[in-house]
Amino acid sequence: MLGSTIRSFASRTTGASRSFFSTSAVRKTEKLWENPWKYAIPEKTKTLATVEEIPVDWSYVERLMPIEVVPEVPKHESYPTPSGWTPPSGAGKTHPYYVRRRPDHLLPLYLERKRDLLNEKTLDFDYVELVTVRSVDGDVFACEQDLRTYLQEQLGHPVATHVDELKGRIKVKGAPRSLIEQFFYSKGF
Amino acid sequence: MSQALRSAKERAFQIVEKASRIRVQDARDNIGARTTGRQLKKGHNQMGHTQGALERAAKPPLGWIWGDFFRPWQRMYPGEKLFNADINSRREYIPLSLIELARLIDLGWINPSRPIDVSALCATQKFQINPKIRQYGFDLTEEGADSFPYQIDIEVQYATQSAIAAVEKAGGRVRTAYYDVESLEAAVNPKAWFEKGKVIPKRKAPPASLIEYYMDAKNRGYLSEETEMEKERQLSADVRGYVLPDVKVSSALKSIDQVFHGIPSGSVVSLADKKVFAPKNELHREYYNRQVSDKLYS
Repeated sequence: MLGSTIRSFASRTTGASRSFFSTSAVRKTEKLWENPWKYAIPEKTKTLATVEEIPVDWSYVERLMPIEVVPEVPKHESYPTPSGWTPPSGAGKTHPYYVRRRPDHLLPLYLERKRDLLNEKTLDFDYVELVTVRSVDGDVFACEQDLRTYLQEQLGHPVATHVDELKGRIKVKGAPRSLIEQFFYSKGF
Repeated sequence: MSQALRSAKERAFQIVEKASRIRVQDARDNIGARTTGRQLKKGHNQMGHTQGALERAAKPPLGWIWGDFFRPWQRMYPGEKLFNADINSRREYIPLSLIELARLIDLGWINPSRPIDVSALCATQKFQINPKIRQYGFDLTEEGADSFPYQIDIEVQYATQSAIAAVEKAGGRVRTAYYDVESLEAAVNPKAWFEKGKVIPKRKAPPASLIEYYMDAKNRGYLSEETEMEKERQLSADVRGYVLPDVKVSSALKSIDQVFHGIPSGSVVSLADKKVFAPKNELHREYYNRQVSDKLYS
């Protein structure tokens, strides 16, 4: 496609443009003031872009392309990795419940922010930050029980949870997502 | 939770208990108890927008009053001097924490052996940058700075001192570099840019308000001297109490007006033919090869 545009550029530069911009064909009888623009403006030379191919390492272009497929996880010497990620292990199969990973090897944990009651002191609305655990298979209530006891042990304050058994979801209020992630990693999911 | 469980009566009592004693000046009307006039039309109480604007979801900018375009709030009420005064000029940077970066490297989205810049980060499709709404790139934040092990060569648009120190402690290199809107648009989605057949732009110089930031070696700005930067690197290591590792980043730096690594600005990339074309015209060549980057008035 680009090749054809370049060819068309080339044909335009060789052919028609000359007659457009040339000032040489001035009639002798024409006075200077009859067309002053012809003399006021410098003679235009063509600036139509012509291009030539240059050698460029194509890998520089390839690395710019968006990654369409989830990449393979590189081998690490030890787990958890520096960012705290752990691959699922066999221990995950021993529980009455199972949490599936997302296709990008991460746990299905999602953040949500909802409006709470009106704060009477500041007259602003409070907001609650919820963490939703999705795609929980098996006994969702057992999962919720384990999760809640773990979080309350770690945090030292009560944590509110809500179970949606049909959709296999658990909503947690009052716990950071990283701690919930740690719990599921420790369980082997 | 406890707030919801208590009865309204109980809560009212609590408010009264906490209130101060009644004084003479308290014996007056509440605000809005009496009105001097009656609202005749609903349309008269529409501060900031009209009904039509609401219906079409075409809201004026915050602080703007419909029908009175030349007197926005911040000028009508100068007591609130900074209320949205810079709404049309403020820049937004997408935060990128070190722990996020570490996770992207852990899971294979980013190759730490290659230089990381806006295009490498956007190729993961995990971030969305829209230069048209004055988003100007990434802000490297220090979350996860305590355990960042990768030796990387990263170029961001803004970086905190702790984040810079964390990367350098691991033997990496940080550069803060300015991308003007057009270059950023090319860098955010190179594929779309190449498919449109657009010319890879030349990176413009930062505007006056930012030029100090990018000329400061402390921020590892791309316009500062290498020797100054080396000094600052040593200084931050001394101040924060870590030893700089001997390993050096081997990858080459981009030139100050280059958008992509290894592809000269001014060229056109054909993805179908896998070829790169450069302009032949002397004027164009001179413009794109000049090392002085264009001044951008914004």
